[in-house]
Amino acid sequence: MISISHVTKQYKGAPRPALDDVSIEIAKGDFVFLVGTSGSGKSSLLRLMLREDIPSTGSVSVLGENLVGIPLRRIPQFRRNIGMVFQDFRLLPNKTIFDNIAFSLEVTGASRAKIADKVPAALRLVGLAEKSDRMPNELSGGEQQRVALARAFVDTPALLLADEPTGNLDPGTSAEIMNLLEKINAAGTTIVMATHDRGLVDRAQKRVVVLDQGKIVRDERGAGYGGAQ
Amino acid sequence: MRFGTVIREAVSGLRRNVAMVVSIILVTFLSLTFVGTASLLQMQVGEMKNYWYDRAQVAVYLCSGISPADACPQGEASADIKAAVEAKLNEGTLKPYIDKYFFENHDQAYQHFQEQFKGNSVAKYVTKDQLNETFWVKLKDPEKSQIITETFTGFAGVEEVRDQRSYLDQIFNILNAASLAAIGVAVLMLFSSALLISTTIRLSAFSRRREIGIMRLVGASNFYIQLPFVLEGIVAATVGSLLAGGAVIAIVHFFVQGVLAPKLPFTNLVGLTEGFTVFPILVGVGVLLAAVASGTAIRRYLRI
Repeated sequence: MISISHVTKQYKGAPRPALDDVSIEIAKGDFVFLVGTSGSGKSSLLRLMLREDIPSTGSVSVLGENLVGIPLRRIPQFRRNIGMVFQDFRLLPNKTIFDNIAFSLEVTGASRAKIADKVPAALRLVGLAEKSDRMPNELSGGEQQRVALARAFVDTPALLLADEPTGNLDPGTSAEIMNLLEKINAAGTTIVMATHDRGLVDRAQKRVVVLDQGKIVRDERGAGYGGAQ
Repeated sequence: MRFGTVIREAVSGLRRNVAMVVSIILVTFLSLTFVGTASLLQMQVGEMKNYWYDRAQVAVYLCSGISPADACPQGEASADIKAAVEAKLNEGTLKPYIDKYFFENHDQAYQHFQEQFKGNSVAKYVTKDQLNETFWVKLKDPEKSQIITETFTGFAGVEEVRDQRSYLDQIFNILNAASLAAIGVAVLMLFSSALLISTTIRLSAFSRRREIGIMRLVGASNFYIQLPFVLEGIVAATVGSLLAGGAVIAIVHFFVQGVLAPKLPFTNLVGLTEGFTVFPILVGVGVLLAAVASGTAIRRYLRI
C-alpha cells in the first residue's frame, strides 16, 4: 500500500532535514497514527504520500505508484484514490454541504446518477443527512469535520490521510470523528492519521509511529501514545 | 468532465470579479477598435494608391516663351518639335509601354489652369503663353515611367519630364507612415491588454486559491482546474472584441460613409465590405489573445 524507504527531505534554508532517512511500510487495511511534536516531520511525511512534495533522496511508493518519478499529468488521477482530511476542514464556504461533497466527485467527471447516489450515502454515514442543504458556516466544528470526512470518503478511496483531524475539536467530538474513522477503516480503507491527541491514541490501541526531529524513533502495533501499555 | 460545472465555475468567477472583467472588456474594446481603425486606414491608403496611381500620368512639358534658356535655348517649341516628340512616342521602342497620350495646347492648359485655381488670384495674372504645351502620357505600367523620362530629358524643345507619381508618393508616404504608426500603437495596446488579462486571471485564481487547493486535493485534472479561468478571460475579451467590431462598423457607416463620403465625392472610401472583413479578424484576435494570455497566466500560477 505505502512503501517509503530511506527518505530524506531537506527544505531550502532549514538547518536540519524535515525527514531524516525515514523508512516505513504500511499494509492494506492498516490504521496508523503518526505522532510526535510539532516540526517532527508528520506533515512532511503526509505531504510526500499525497505527492504534494517529493523527497530530496529516497523513494516513496503509494498505491503501487512510484511518486518520485510519476509524471505531473498522472498526479490528479493518483489523488482520486486518496481521501484527505485536515485540521481546518477545508470546505468551500460558498457551497452547500451536499455540493461540497458532490464537488469532489464532479471534478473527477462522475455522472449525475453516481453523485445522487453516493453523496447522500456518505452524508448518512457521518450522520448529517438532514443538513445537506446547509452552508458550512452554519455547522459546528465537529459537523464540518464530519462533512470533510464524508468528502474524503465519498468515492471509497483505498487510502485516507488525516492531518490532525481532531486538532480543533473538543474531546467528545474528537471521539465521534475517531469512531467514524474506525468505521471507514473497518470497511477496508487504509488510514494514516497524524495527531497530537494522546487520549485518542491511547484508547484506540492501533499501530503508532513516533517521529522525532525527522526520524522514526518508535513503530509499534497495538500501542498507546507513550508506548505499549 | 462535467461541462456544466466548468461553465458554472467560470460564471461565478466572472461575477466575483466584475470590476476586473469590465476592465478587460474595456481594454480589449479600445485596443481592438484601434487595431480595426488602423487596418481600415491601411486599406484606405491602399485603395487610394490604386485609384490615383491608375490616373497618374507622365507629363512631357514642351518649351514655352518664358522657359529658362538653358533648358530651351531655341525658345517656344515649334510645330516641328511637337511632331518630333509625337513621332518619338509612336516609335516602336516606346509604343509598347504607352497606354495612350494626348496633347494639351496653350488654350487647353489655360482652361485647366483656370478651373484648377478658380477664385485664386494667380488665375488672373497667368497668360496662355506662360503655360507649357504638354504631352500627357499614360503608361500601361506606371512603374516604368523611367523610360519616358530618359527618352525626353534633354530632347530638343522639351523643358521638363515629370512623373506625377512623384507627387503622389510623398502624400502616400505620409499617409502610410501615419497608418503604420497607428498599427504600432495598436500592437502596444494589444500587448498591454494581454498583460492586463493575465494579471486579472492571476488575481482571480488568487482569490479562489482555496477552491483550487481543494480541487487539486480531490484529484481534479489541471485542465479542469484551468478551464474556468481561461473561459473567464475569453468571455470578457469576446465581449470587448464584439464591441470593438461594432465600433469599427459604426465608424465606417456613420463617419466614413455618413460624413466623409458626401464631402469627398471623388474619393473611393472604405465601406461596410471592408468593415465586415475587419470584424471577424478583430474577434479572432481578441479571443486568441485572451486564450493565450489567460492560459499562460493560469498555467504559471498553478504549477504543481
